[in-house]
Amino acid sequence: MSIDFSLGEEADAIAQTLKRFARDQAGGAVVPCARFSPDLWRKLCGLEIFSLTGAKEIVAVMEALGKTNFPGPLATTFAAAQLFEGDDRARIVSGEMLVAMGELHGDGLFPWAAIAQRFVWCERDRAFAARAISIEPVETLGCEPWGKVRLERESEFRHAGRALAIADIALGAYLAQAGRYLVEAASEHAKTRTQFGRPIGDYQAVAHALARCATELAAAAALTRVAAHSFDAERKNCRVTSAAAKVSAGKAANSASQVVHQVFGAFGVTEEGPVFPVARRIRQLTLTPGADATARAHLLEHVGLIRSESV
Amino acid sequence: MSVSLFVGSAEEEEFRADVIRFISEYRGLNGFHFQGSKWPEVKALYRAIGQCGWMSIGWSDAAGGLGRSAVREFILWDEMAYARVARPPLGAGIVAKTLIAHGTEAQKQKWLPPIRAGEKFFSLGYSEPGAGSDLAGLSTRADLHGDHYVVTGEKCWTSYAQDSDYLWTLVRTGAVEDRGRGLSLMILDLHAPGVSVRPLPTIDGEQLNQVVLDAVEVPVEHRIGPENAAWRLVKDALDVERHVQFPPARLRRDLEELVAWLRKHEHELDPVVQRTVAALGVGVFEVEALALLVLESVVKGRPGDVEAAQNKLAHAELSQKIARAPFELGLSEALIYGPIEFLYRQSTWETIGGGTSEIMRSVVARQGLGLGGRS
Ligand SMILES: Cc1cc2nc3c(=O)[nH]c(=O)nc-3n(C[C@H](O)[C@H](O)[C@H](O)COP(=O)(O)OP(=O)(O)OC[C@H]3O[C@@H](n4cnc5c(N)ncnc54)[C@H](O)[C@@H]3O)c2cc1C
Repeated sequence: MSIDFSLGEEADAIAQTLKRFARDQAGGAVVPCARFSPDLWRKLCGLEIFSLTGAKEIVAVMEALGKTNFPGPLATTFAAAQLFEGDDRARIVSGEMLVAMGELHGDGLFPWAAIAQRFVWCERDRAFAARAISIEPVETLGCEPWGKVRLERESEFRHAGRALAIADIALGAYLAQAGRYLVEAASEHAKTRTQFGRPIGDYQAVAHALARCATELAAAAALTRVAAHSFDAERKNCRVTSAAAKVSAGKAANSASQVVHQVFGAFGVTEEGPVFPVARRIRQLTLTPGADATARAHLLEHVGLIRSESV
Repeated sequence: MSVSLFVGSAEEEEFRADVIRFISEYRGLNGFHFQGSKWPEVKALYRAIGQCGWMSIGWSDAAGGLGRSAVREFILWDEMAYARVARPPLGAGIVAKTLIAHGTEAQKQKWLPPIRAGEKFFSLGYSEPGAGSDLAGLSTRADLHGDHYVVTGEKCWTSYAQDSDYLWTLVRTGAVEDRGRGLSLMILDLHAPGVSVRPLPTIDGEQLNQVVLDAVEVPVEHRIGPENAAWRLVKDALDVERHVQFPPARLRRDLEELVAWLRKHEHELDPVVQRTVAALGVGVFEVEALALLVLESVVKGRPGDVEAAQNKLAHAELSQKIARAPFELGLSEALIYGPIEFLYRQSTWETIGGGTSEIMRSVVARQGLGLGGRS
């Protein structure tokens, strides 16, 4: 990548539209962590964002949605739009059909399984269309309708590696901005909340903790954009940079949640408070089954600790 | 039975066995985490504790207590925490001990018997919207009108106010500039005209409360200690109650639940899981040791501000480390509603309620190390 972190004018315009849309729908700065709303989802799909194929545009969309805590299987749907073709693809990008995508481990916990119509079973960089034999819905921390499933594989998708890379990039972009939203909200609070005669942001215990979060999030956001440029330029390192971006953004966003909870004091642990709706979603998004191990495998291979056969 | 680091005398361990026997009838109650939603059951439990004489176990004979040492109180509430049945009520601790030390005879007569019996309950009305960490900045005013005060202001984050009878409250009777020297301590009837209690639901599924006080009349004889002298009383009360506030067995229980959960999901052989759990196990020992330092300071009547701050800090942070471990380990099943997911939400407030970790570090820095203080 050249030294240019901008996403381009087209992407910037998309970001503006999305920001307006998300705020109009939420009626405030962020969407509360309510249950998934099919209606809201279809409205989002109506903006035709899931037809986008360029990583920079997708990053623009996801950054805008991350800032507003927008719900839904966003990264998955971007990936699914790359995997599916024809009628299925049209129904997915229009919001008529919902896709659940993930790895299958242990007791079969699977994101979005409770309400999905199509299943994509991933195994590292391979992906298979699958049929659900059984689905047991579960309630989760982030209010996403997951389920425990038994799946049966059908056909294998082509180009799965690229679709999974775009899912990682999309998630990285979302998480870095969700974390950024929290840090900005906490910084505003720290400027106006006075204790012992001074704004609490004057205390290094508060200011330094937020500065550390801002730094981690800046690295994650920059890395996500690097990965997007890599993806668009079809560079070889795109898979590892996308995995790194997702891991980095997840780590930074989770640690921002914790610091920001602390900065808001008791208000931050109330349901009315601004932190938990975002923090719980961040946790959920960073814990998809198997995602950790797959990202780790890409990174360890890249640094030479393991060879691809041993993964 | 919890495997506590602390082993008391033969009599003390006999007492522990009595407590465990008593608790066995209440297993599964979880009034420790759900006092609000389980209030009728928790109230019945407190009454039963009162009937055993244990509400007043550490009060002097003269005050109607059993006159036992702080060690018994520690054992009682540590076992209650381990079994998750209940937390020490404010009335039998801070309120009663302050009344015993500083109250008038009439005040002792009025409040100690129902507290001892587990019949009357108190909430702590210190924090306000403008005064959390900086308690000395509070602004709820109490103005004297003949034989009563008129109290106007707002308290917030008040635990259990929805079920309590009284608010043990700090109010401003002096000038704002006087900070801590302008505060008085009062017992305010939560059912008096002018009091309104609004729930503030919390992320653990329970609630705190906003308590609005609109010209509430409080009889002068409900003021505890002299006017404008509350600061000293509040500090003294903490000194004699700090050994039961953060019972370490709660953390041992958290760790046991984590281990059971890891086994259930077959993660126990993963070397990274093992390393994490071993480190948490050391953490539990450390917090128990710190809690015993606090207990020692209370038993020996030594100042223990630094020990108490270190204990609170380590306790709160370890509760979060235990609850967050499965999430940090990337174990997605932790997201499913259940004991681990609950601890994750609940422990979020441990580093805030009862004084934030930042303030605890400031106390350790200032009083323990002679360093700068708040920044
Ligand atoms: C579950 C729970 C139960 C509670 N129950 C009660 C109750 O029953 N009765 C009651 O009176 N109160 C209660 N509280 C309130 C509690 O005491 C306060 O939340 C706490 O003192 C912090 O105050 P605050 O929330 O206003 O945060 P603030 O004081 O506004 O603090 C916000 C942030 O700034 C930091 N900060 C503030 N000052 C400094 C400084 N000088 N240096 C460095 N950092 C600083 C804090 O550490 C925190 O991170 C409860 C709180 C909780 C969470």
